[in-house]
Amino acid sequence: MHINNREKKRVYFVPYILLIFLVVTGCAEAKIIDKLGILVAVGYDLADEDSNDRIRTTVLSYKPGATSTNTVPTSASNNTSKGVREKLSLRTSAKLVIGQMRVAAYGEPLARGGIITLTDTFQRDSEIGTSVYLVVAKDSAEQLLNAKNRQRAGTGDYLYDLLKKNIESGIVPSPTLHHFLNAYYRSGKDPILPYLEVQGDEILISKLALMKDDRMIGSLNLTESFSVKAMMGSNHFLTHEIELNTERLRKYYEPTFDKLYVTLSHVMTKTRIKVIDKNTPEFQVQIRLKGEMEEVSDLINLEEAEVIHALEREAEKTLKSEFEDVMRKLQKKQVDPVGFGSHYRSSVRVQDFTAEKWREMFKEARFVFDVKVTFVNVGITS
Amino acid sequence: MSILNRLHDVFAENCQWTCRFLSIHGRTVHIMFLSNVADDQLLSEGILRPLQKLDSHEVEQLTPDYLLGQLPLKKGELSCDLEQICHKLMLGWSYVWIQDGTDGLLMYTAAHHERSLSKAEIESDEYGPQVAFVEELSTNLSLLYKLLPDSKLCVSSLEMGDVSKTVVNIVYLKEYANEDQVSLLRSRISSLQHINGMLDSLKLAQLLDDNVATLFPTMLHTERPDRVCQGLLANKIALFVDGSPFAVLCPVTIYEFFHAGSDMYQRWIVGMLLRVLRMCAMIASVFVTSIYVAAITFHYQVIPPELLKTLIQSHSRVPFPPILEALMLEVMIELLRESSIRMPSKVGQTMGVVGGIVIGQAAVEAGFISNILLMIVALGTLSSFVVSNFAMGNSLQIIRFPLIILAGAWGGVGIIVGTCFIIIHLARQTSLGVPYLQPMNMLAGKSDEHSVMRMIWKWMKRENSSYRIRKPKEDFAE
Repeated sequence: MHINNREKKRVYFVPYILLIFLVVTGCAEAKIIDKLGILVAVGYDLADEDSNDRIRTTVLSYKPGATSTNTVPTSASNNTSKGVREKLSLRTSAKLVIGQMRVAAYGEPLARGGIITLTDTFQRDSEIGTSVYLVVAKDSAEQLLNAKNRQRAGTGDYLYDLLKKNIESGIVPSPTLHHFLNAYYRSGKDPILPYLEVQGDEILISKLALMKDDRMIGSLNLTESFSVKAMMGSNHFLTHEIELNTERLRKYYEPTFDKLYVTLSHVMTKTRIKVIDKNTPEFQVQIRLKGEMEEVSDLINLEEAEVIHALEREAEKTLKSEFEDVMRKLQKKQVDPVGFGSHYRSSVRVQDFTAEKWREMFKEARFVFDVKVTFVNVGITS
Repeated sequence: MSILNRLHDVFAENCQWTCRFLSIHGRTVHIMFLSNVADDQLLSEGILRPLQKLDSHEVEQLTPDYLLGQLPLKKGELSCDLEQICHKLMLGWSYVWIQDGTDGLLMYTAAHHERSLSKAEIESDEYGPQVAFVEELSTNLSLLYKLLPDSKLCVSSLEMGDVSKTVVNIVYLKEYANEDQVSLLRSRISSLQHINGMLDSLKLAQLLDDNVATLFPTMLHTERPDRVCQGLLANKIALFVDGSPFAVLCPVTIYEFFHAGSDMYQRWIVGMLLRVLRMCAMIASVFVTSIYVAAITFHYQVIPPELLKTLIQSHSRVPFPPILEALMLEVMIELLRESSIRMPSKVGQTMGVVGGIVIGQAAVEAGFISNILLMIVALGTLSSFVVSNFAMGNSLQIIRFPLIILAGAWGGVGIIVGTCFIIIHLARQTSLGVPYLQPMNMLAGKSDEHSVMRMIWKWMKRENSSYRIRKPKEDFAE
């Protein structure tokens, strides 16, 4: 009655829309979660020498449709990391998808040969973001992904949680795909990845793998790792133990042991890197470290501010020498995980700054450390 | 043929038709009425008794004019127009006709079958006036007059419906309401033809809509007098239909459907947060199920890892694809809703058992539906009840279905396509020429009615505001 012609036309339009809808309904590929084999971790190794294949891939995926959601490992070999899907699909009932992948592990032998071709494919995959953690596994990634852990958690989730915790409040610098690619493609910076080991029924982060471009060329132990991460910017560490020289502290207490250890908790570091001489080049690294003093290995009367200050000065000296040691090691290996090169490049305008040039300059570079340690909450700690 | 015979003819098939004649001092006076609609007491006190008390001297010169002055009734008029007499008789009036006269006398003796005033049930609220409109138009208007006793209050009356002859009142505040809107409304009402019965204001509101085909209500109905007054003060026009306990306010924007009376009476921060809650509830009720369907069918990547395991477990037992599962559950909830309205209140308890235990628990245990979906659908339904206006709530409930189907077919892209359709549709709507999505005024600096927030009373410069009016549709009455 009140519907005019224009409105009538609009009403006639509805069946056409429904028709279009019906026709194109099948166009989107459904991925119903319980029908998928969702990968949580993937590992790459060199294939056996006698086989024709290049890479052995191990995937850790949720069992499709199962009531328990423990992950199961599957392995196959092929020439490319994505081409292996063809072979993997012969071994699993579900469609393998990588959208929930958290961890990508590379066996050490493979990592020593270079991993950029394997990481590059992740970067171009729209299914995953760049927050995937990259790790280097001792011996083989297959072994790592097949390992059990004492907590009896699913290996994929366990690896992810272990890394996440240590990135947030430990000595591991962020090893995400994003940071890896950033460091790889930026001249004047090298990637650094955590190095995982399986010891019996335990998975642990034993050290950090130093990468020169995409090849692993060495590693950093835990003390060195702390120094590198502290230099990499403002960071937070749950605890850190500092060894103090007792020589100059004798006037404040009677040492019962040769060495004195101080454990700090809730350590906050703030770092500032300045180029002070662009020819040498010379850098000034200013590090401010604050921590709650949680434990001292000997009986010291801490009522006097003077004593605390003396301890702080000693801690500064220890840290300074640690920083200097690690820099010498890095210079010898010509790798720059901290990214002094990119600091240099941003403050000194150098034309045709290349990674090769920087490696030569880095070898000759000098570093002046200005470390300041403050103990907060010496008495009661939280 | 005398008027008496003609009336006899008209009401020949009506058993309620009563024609009583009195002989007073030799003259016959006929009193005609319909016994079910005329009030017995008024008839005897107001007509029969005064007639009997007339003395012979008076009877000799008895004219309808004289009689009109003698009968102690509220309303009365002279008439010899058959059509008018018939109409008034149907409304409970009585017709007094002196034998051999030309004019008769129509006297108001209608019986009122009216329920007493009661608390608002559909829009019940914890604060503010609690009284609600009833079915009687005059009572409703008196409630309004009590709240706004100002001569600016205009009430104009129209009659609608070929058979029902319903009285429709247009109420507005002079100088407040927009004159163009009032005349537009009036012309729309008078252009409505071929309507047999106008039984409720909601029907009238639909007939007056700018776009008859829209899913969303573009006129706001309310049963609270204070809400109507608030609307009138904010330049709106109210429509009252005799026999309907709902007043209709127009023009309105979509935001007003999420306002409740108590927003204004609570402390401002409480009122503001409640409004935000209601807006969030609206979004949740529309999208939550379709987002679930899209995530579980297409976008496993976006699910947080902790939730992923639970989702896999809960869905792995269900043999249907998520879209079917969601549609089934939504239909079940709709059935529950509908049956709880239609069911006699005595068997209402059975509903709870059937709905809660059988559908909720058994369906999950039987592996028919995943428990997470059950929770999500319940959340969506609950959210749609939070929306203070049930007509809007129903509209929101309905647009979930196309969104679920789109989500099941195309995932997130489908939801976006559907949302675009809805927003474009809403943006095209007008209410009496006022854009339905009139720019929302988040902080409500000057006015309240198109805002999400509710500001401190003192900060609102005036309660009313001016609308931007789009040119009204010319082609309305085709």
